Amino acid sequence: MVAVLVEDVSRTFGSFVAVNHVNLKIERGEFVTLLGPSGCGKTTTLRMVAGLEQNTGGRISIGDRVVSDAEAGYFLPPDHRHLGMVFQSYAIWPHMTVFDNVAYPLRIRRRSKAEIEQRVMATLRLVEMDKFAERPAPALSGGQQQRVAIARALVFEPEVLLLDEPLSNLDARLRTQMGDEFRALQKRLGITSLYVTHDQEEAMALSDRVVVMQGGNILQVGSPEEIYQRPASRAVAAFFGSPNLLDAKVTACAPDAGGRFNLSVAGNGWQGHARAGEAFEVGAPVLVLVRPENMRIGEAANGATMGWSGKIVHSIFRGPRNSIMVETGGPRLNVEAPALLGARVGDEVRIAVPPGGAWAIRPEAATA
Amino acid sequence: MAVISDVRIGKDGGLTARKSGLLGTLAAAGVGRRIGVVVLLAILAFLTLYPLSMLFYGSLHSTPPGMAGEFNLDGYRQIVTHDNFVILINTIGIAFAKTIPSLGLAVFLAWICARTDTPARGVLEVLITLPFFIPPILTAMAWGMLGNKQVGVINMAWQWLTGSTDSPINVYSYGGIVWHMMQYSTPFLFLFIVDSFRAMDPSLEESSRMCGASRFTTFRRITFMLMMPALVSSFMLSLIRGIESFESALFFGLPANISVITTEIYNAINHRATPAYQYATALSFAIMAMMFLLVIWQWRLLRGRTFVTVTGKGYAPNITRLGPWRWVTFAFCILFFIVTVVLPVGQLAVGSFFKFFGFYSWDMLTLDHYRDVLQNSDFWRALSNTMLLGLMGATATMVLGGIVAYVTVRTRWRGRKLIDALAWLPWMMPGMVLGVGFLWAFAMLPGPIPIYGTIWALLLAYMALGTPIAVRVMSSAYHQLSFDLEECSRVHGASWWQTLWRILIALAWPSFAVGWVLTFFGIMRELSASILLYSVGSEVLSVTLLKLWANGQAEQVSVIGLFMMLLVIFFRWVQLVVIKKRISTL
Repeated sequence: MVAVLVEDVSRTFGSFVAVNHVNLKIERGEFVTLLGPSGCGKTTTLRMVAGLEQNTGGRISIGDRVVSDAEAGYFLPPDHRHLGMVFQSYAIWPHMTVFDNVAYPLRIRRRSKAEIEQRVMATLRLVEMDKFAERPAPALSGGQQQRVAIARALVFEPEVLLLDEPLSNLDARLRTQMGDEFRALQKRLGITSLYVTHDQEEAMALSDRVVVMQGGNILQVGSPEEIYQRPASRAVAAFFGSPNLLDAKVTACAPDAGGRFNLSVAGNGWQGHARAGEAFEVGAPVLVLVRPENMRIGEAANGATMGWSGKIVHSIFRGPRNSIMVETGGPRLNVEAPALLGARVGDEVRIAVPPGGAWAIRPEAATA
Repeated sequence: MAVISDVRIGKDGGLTARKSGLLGTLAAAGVGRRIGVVVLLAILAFLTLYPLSMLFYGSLHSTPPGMAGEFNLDGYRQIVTHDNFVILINTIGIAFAKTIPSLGLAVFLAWICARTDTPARGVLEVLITLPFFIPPILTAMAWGMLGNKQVGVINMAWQWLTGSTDSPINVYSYGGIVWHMMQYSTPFLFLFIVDSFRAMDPSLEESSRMCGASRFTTFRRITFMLMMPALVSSFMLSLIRGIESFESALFFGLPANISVITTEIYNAINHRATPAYQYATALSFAIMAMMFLLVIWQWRLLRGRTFVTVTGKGYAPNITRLGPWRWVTFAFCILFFIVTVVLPVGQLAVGSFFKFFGFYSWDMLTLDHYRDVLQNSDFWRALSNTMLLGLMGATATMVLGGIVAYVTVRTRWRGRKLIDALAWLPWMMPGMVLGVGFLWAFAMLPGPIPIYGTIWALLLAYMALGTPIAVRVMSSAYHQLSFDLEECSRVHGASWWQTLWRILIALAWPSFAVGWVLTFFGIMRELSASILLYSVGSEVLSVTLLKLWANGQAEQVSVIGLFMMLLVIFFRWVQLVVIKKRISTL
């Protein structure tokens, strides 16, 4: 059951293309995140689904209704789309109490007083703000405002819930806590959610699927694991953390049982195995992606996996781990090592990549 | 509201090609919006462009409005005389002479109230700004009595103190004019500058101190420079108001044969055997051209800045500890209050209880004047006219201002720039000039429309004069409301009208109330347009006062003046206590 269908949607401002022919299908009950750096078009896409901006091309449907069709000149205003939205600034109305804020969508729809009372209190209990029902809105902290905003968006059981970077105004600790709480709530209610953020960790922790966007285009759509472990392009790979992207050439390619491919690759002074999502010809150049946390320090290098020896030139203590930079004869490698190992600058180390820790992607002709 | 039809997927050719607008559009597809814009433009054009163009027309027309005549440039030729050149120098000179000391005083007072630990700063601020709300005509009359050469209280006190027989203070002089203008412009400037002082982020000064600069160097290089834009724009505003000013020169200049442009226009119409309409109109138009340039210059300086009180985000500015000196500053502020409020009010109170003003002995006490005033039907008529005009005018102006500000700030409709420009046009027309313009405008209206000489003439003039302030107040109110609040309401199901009422108006009404009170005060004190547009039966209080004063009935003037003063203080109290309380909870 498709909850939101975005077909070939574009948004241009004069000659500037903010969203470029984007296609997206969101199933009922799914939690989809639009992820990307600022200016990539994710917020614009969200606002077009909400009806706060009008798409200049393509068609948007919610449920089985078309809400906007640029070519046919049809546009359903936002108040008719039956959506709930949580804004980055929460948009809590300062002249109302918590109760009034959450009751607003129901009052607009002229529900009975009894129904409003019952629904609002139930929703406030869901977000654990029921004790604050009579508090005036300006007297709330950031986290509390956010809960009220969520309650307001949920109270009338909308078809789809839209969230525009709702956690970015909270401090780091509150962010993770509220994010997890919200995800649990969403799963329990089974409400379709379209979420926008630039925070990669947040996107991965909360979503069923992640849509990576850049420059108005969708780079890749997939589960968080897929996006992270098996990116389709260098741009997607580089978006998360600081991965090692090693140039190499394919020496052998064979399909595996799961529809993917096993490659043998050889680089500058090293060789090894990698997995890939498509077939490569022998001799073709590849980029081999090895994430810093997949590098192991101290294991002996043998022919079956990739290995290097080198000297640690840089080490930053980050609490649970050390971020280390190792200078080998060939490439310079980023390695995330457990802090317990006590790796120090100047140490000579051996680095190896366990099987399955390397992923190969096609190097683009143009820089992404 | 237009019905939006739903469309299901799978049905071909069932899509209605109707474009709806987004936030800020009327439900009907564009047509309602266009009608609204046209109506708004028509109203504004009638209030501003029409009198303006009639001004130009009248300056070329050789006979009074309504009579047949020929077109010539005589009016303009009469402007270019030596006397008028002196008048121009007078006007500009006086404006500068009052703005500079006012600015200095205002900065000092603002510094005291915003940046020192002077005791009771909140109360001092209220006291210092009070003169701004008192109609200048009242203070003019009061100072006329205080500084009178023969029987003025000040001279009498001086004589009593020193035993000499000469009177050093003659309020009927250049000094008197400037002194009186300063009564009004110092609190006016204070209002702007004190907010500037308060809105400053303290970390800007702290970082200067961390770099090694002393407190004085920090003030000189950082604080003062940061305040420069506010200071310059306030200076320009005050200068413009100085050129437009009428009451001070009328009271203190005419008896001493000192003329400024506004009094010259007034004289040409009211104090000549045959009113010289063409000359007066030509002069008005010429002044307006000069004002236009000044206002354009001022607008470019002010561009993008809102200078009406912006509530700060909780910055606590650095306080300078003055030690024992803080009592000196406290005394200075109290002295200011005494001179600008207590003295004039006191004079009016005293003058109202004594048989003849200037002769203060116990056997001269009387309540006769009160009786005379209360039995004077002219007074009651003027009072009811003023209250009616004040209530209706303030409401109408604020509503108009609210709509204009909404269109300009919250929508992207076509034509909103034109609407904004028209709403600002009256800012460059002194009340006197607008009065002349409306004289012609109403006289030239087709026969059956009875505005000329009625109370509606005054109402329309007040609306035109008050619109720029109203627009400014509502604009800054709207600016402070993030679009999120409206958008959120729309997404959660509220229509445009519901959002307007439940969110925007609900949040903006305190500013509306503040603007209403300001406009009400403005109407109460308005003199220069009223004096040209009134006729028997439609007098307002300020005109009545002027007539009484011209007839030498200073005592009755004192009674009415005192009454008006109390009214002003009452409304100011309402504004401060009732409305401010609501605003501060937001």
